[in-house]
Amino acid sequence: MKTHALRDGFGRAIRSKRYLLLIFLANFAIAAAMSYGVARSIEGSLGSSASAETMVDGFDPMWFDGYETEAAGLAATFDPRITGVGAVFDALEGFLSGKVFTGESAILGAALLYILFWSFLTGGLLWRFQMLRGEGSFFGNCGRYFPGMFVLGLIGGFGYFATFYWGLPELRSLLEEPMRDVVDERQYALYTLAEFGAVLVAFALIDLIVTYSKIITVVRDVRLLLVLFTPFRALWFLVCHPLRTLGLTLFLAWALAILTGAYGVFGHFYPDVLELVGLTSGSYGGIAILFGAGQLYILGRIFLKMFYLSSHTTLYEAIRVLPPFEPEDDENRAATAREEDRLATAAGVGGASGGATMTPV
Amino acid sequence: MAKRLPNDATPARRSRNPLFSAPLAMALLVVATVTAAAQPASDDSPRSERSPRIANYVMNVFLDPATREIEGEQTLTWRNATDHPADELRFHLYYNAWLNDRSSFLRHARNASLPTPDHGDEDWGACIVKSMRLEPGDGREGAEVTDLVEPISPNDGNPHDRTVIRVPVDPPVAPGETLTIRMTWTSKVPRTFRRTGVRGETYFLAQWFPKIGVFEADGTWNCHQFIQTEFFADFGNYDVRMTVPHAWVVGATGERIERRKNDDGTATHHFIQNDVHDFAWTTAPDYIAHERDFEAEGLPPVRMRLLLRPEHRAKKDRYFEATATTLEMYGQWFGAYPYGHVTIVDPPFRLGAGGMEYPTLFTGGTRWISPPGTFSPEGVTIHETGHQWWYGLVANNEFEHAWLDEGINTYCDRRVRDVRYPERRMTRRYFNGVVPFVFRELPMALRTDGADRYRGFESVLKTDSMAHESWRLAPGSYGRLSYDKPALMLRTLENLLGWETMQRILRTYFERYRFGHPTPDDFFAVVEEVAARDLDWFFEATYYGSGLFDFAVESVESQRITKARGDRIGEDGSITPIGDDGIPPPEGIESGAFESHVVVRRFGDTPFPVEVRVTFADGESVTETWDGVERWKRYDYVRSTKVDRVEVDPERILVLDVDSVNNTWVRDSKARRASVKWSARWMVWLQNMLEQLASVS
Ligand SMILES: [Zn+2]
Repeated sequence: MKTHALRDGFGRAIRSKRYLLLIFLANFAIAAAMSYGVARSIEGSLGSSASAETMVDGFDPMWFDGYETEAAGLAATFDPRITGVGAVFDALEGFLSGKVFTGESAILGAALLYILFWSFLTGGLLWRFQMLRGEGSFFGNCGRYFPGMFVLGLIGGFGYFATFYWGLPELRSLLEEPMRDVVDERQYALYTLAEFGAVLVAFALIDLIVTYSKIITVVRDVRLLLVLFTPFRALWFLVCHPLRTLGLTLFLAWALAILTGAYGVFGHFYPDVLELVGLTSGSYGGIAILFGAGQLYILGRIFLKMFYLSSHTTLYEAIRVLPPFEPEDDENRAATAREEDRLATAAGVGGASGGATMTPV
Repeated sequence: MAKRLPNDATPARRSRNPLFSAPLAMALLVVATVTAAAQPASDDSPRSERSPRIANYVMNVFLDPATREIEGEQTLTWRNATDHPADELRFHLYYNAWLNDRSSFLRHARNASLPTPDHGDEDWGACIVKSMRLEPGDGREGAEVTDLVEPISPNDGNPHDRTVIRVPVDPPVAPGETLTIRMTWTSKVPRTFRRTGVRGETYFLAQWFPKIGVFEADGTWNCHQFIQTEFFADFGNYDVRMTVPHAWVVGATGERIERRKNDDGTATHHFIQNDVHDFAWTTAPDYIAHERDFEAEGLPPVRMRLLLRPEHRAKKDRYFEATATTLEMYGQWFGAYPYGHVTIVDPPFRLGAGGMEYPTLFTGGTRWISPPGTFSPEGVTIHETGHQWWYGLVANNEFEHAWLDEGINTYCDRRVRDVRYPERRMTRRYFNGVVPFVFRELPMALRTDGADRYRGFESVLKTDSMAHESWRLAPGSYGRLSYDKPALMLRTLENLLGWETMQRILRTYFERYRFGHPTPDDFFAVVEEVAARDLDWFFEATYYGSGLFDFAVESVESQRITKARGDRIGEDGSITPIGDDGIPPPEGIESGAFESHVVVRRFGDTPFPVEVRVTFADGESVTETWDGVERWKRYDYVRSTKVDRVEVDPERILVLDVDSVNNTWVRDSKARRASVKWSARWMVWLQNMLEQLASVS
């Protein structure tokens, strides 16, 4: 059933590509607007100096040392080491250690805006991702479910804060004593892995609960007040189906890791790629190649998130909404074909009777 | 140069200095017998030259890991090499810097905002002299002096500081007299402070025994409290027996001549080293020992012993290679490393003992994951190997002039890096530093590349002068003024004199002061002597002064010459308008040429002669010499083309300039393109950050 959720979820996410593009454009627009200021700041700092020449085809550490001291606000977040996969590590580390909350306020503000935008679209996306969806337009459903998505988003945000403000310090004080005399860095790396891993797992669990709450809200068309109880239903669902839900999540995490790895490999060989095509990193072509790879990576990330929503929706529907079938036959082609037949039938039935109000099977 | 690095398994071979000559050795041996009684019998020091051997120690010490205490007995044979009688002796008890948090060391550390570790009750250090006895000899009667020992604080009068003790000697030690002092003492090993101590079961022991100060030629004791600097001691011979649990590995200054297993589950390691001014050692159950021979044409062989952490197995070759490269380059540039052995200690992660030099032994340091681009352990290994020259052999007083070894060595290690490891890339470590990432595209700046603002130069260089004694440098300025500024000063000097001259200067300084205690004046004298020019102005500006260097291009203007307009004065004094015809430009200047004005500025307080290079659009350039005395200077040109480019100090002679960006002006600025390139990268970073943060939505 997990592979079914993946395959079917993938199809549903792909079919929503215009919304993928919409989200991507929002992300792009916010970032582009903000990077204009950074570009001006870099340009102003380089001015008429020869350092600008060095910065075009290479990097002038002496210029950067001066720039870093004088830059303020957004411009102060510029560091050459945010290039390529460095950006991914930077964001992930900041996210898992809670450092992002003490970061630049303009970025936090932009992130908040973007999160709201995502929240708004989530209702519509989940509505689309259902097999048995009711009437209405995409944006109509975005608006309809937005309050619920917003409330659930707040709950998720609270979960993140709680992990960071209470959980993490607690974990650190717990690890302090056993870590104190550790002199073997491999052991220290394990503790570090444990620390970041625990936070990551906590976030993943919080996110799973919130995601399933959202799915339940949309699939069951839960009224706003009752949305507050969906996390309990989501939790119950996760407890009943731990392997499938976690397995699906792990698969998607693995896909993200592969995507990031590919991006990293590209970044590493970028200078060689330039040499191959006879460009320099400061030529507009060279700039475009790296920028384009970055955009593909961002597109990939957004798609994976949509895929995450669609596949979990599919899984939930398959288990709770649609007629039962043999989940053990997952790997069996014949069974899969049978399952597809059933789904098609169910979709037909659901479409006629209005899936949102169907009683669980 | 041909350099052979055979495999580790080569059999032990006593290294011998090729400069050795039997008659000379005999002669020296006779001198040694006469001047220094009670020397340790073994003598495998360089025969061509040896140290004055003033402070000689024979020690027998027992480390008890259960209590983290060292019980020591030591016999110190000390010679008064001055023309003045010594009516007292002074000793350093460095471990008392961590006796409590009122010590001058910890007071200063707090004042300078240095990290003061949070130590538990069991983690403090101490060095307690339990007994002291002056032995009879040279017409002197033996005397028990334990009760006469008293702590003193010659530097700051801090009554809580116990890092220096004195003991009166009656009758005083006469000039040339050799005195034998027997002591017993206990050192409590702290959880690591300032590169010595213990963590887990790994001990790194430096400044761990009562060590006599330096009785100077003027008849006063140079025995500073331990506040913020490194160290100073007389040369001598060390004969040390260390008893530790029998399975533990020991590395120490010198060479091991015996390892004896005891019945009580311990083993005693006997190490000997002549002609050094300190003795450090380390012990842990899990070091892995490797050996390899260094050989290079024209240099005596050196057996390198590496004590490696198990998790750093993969770094073995890199440690050996960096050490061998430095032994070769420093050896060829400045003079041979005379001891036949060197011990490289790879300290465990977080022991806090990494990157420190001791005679014939040093600590490196690396991380579990550190690909070649991270330059770890190479960077630290080159620097600490280099200290065998600057500190180990040329042993200046680090309390007072730490820059003499740290600055010179920082300057020299850069040259090894430039020659052998020119590829340097920026690195960043993620997830508590466990995961490194090397940015192939981003070259890394070294501390000798330039005095940039970011690295704190602007504020620190103004704070204090290098000429100030190191132990009293303003809080927070010690590092900059002992490492960076002197290295930049020497780099500037190299740019003025050329590397050839610089190398001859350092070789002369090394040869003249090997086994000696030179002062900054000694160094400056060698510089002027070899360079054969007066450089007072240079040292005045860089060493004694605390002013900043900052030159800049202020403005550049190029205008087409047109016919003059305005009024004309007639011969009768009458004023009439020139009219539309104007006055053509003077003869020789074609109409349509450009008149250019270039203004350069000195923003820093310190004058310095610099070149100003002005390049015109036709590719021709003019190089002006500006003495840099005035605050600004204007250059005017009439040329057929505009000024395209102006550079103050185009060859980057003055690397002490705190802002190199304002030194240049380019007409056709590439700033827009550069900003597009870098802001596009930043934008992707932000896009990813937004996506990461939105994962909580
Ligand atoms: Zn050093």
